[in-house]
Amino acid sequence: MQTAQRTPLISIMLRPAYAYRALAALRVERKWGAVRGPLLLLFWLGCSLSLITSQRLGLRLVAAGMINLSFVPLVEIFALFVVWRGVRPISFSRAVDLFFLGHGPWMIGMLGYAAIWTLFAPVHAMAITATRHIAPILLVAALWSGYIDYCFFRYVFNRSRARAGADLILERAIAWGLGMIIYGGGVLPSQMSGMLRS
Amino acid sequence: MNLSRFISAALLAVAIVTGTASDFPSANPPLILGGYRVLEADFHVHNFPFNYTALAPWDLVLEARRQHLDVIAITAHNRVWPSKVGVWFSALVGGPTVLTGEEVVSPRYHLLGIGIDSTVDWHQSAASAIDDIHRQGGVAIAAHPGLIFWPGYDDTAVSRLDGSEVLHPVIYASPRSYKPFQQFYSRAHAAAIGDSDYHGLWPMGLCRTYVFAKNDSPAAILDAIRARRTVVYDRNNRAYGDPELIQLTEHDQRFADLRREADNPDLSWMVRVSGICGVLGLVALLFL
Repeated sequence: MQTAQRTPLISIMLRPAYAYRALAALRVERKWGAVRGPLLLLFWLGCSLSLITSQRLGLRLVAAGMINLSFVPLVEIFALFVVWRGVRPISFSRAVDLFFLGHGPWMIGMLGYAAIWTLFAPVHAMAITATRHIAPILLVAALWSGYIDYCFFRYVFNRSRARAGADLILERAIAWGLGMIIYGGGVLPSQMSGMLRS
Repeated sequence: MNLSRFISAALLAVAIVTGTASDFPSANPPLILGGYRVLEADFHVHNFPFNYTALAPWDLVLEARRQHLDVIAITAHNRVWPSKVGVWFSALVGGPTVLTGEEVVSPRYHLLGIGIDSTVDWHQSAASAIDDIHRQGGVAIAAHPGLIFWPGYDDTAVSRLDGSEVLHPVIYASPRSYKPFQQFYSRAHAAAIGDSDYHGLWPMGLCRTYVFAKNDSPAAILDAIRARRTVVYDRNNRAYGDPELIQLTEHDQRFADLRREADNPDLSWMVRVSGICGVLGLVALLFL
């Protein structure tokens, strides 16, 4: 239990079921818990954008990334709220705090991508980050993160297995659906038309 | 604060201080060759929101300046208004020349309409979309014309193109995709264009076009594209574009300096320190 408290991000990544069970049992709200997780994710996104675009951490790009990508935690919080309604006895701020501790796989993925662009020459970085290399890693991150979030719903919200799975699908559908519209909505009608045609 | 947090905070502080201090670009003196001003351009830059990227039009203007780009075209997917925001902001801060435009994304082709004022309907054929762009006084550039998009360009459409992206970052990720771009460029007899198709996943200006224009006004830049006065170099020193202009560039030390700076972006010790400390700081933040 102490490990889960001391390094929650790592513990949740390595043993999500155990870590979430231990953290849920604590019933202690971390100071600024509901804000710390989303802010950490935003800082991570801003830093990644800055490293990829300019190979350095500059305030201009870190701030731009944090402001423009603020929709990411916001849609996640909204989706979590929809799933959380009626769950007792956990408060929503505690739920947000614990949920955002489960973003480790995405954070590692972003850091790895940013590190490649920081440390390698552009042509080499482009070759290393080709879709055929990145796609399997994205798939692993998505599955890993999916399992972590499943454990969150199962042990923090105390859901049955089926209900935790349904919560995961609902949360993903809302957050990723809204996120896709904000992030790439300009091209969705044309892409959907192309898919229907083929 | 425990030791691990202190280490992380110290590394990130060093990274942000050095990164921010090195973020103020020096302006390059204008280069004149063959009576033309040589402008570094990226005609394919996407903006947040709705375009699979994270930088808003004003951020793109500031980033273009840091990348020593003289010209960018903000090309949102199927809409023009974000580029107008970029034009307004660049005029406000004295930034690079920003051209209005959009990427017309149809299931059958992707087409850049540069220098246009209103959105081009993506439901129509490529030839018809090109005509629409021309009616608005703009230029039409085939965007990343890989094999998948070839059926979308019939002979009429190809003959009406003003430019074709022969260089695009994807060729460095997948060298097999290079040949179709080269073949399409040969078929089109249009201006050679190199663009970064910036989506936030690699640096802006990674591929760029050298435009030989009378000055840096939008009208002069569009005229230069129509007259095929462009040169594009890949990282293996292969050149595309007007043969006479290529010859001019091959023997000019100032142009060589320009290219070296574009191919090897500013990696001073401050940038290196910032990047390495930034990565280590984030690793420490996550794992310690």
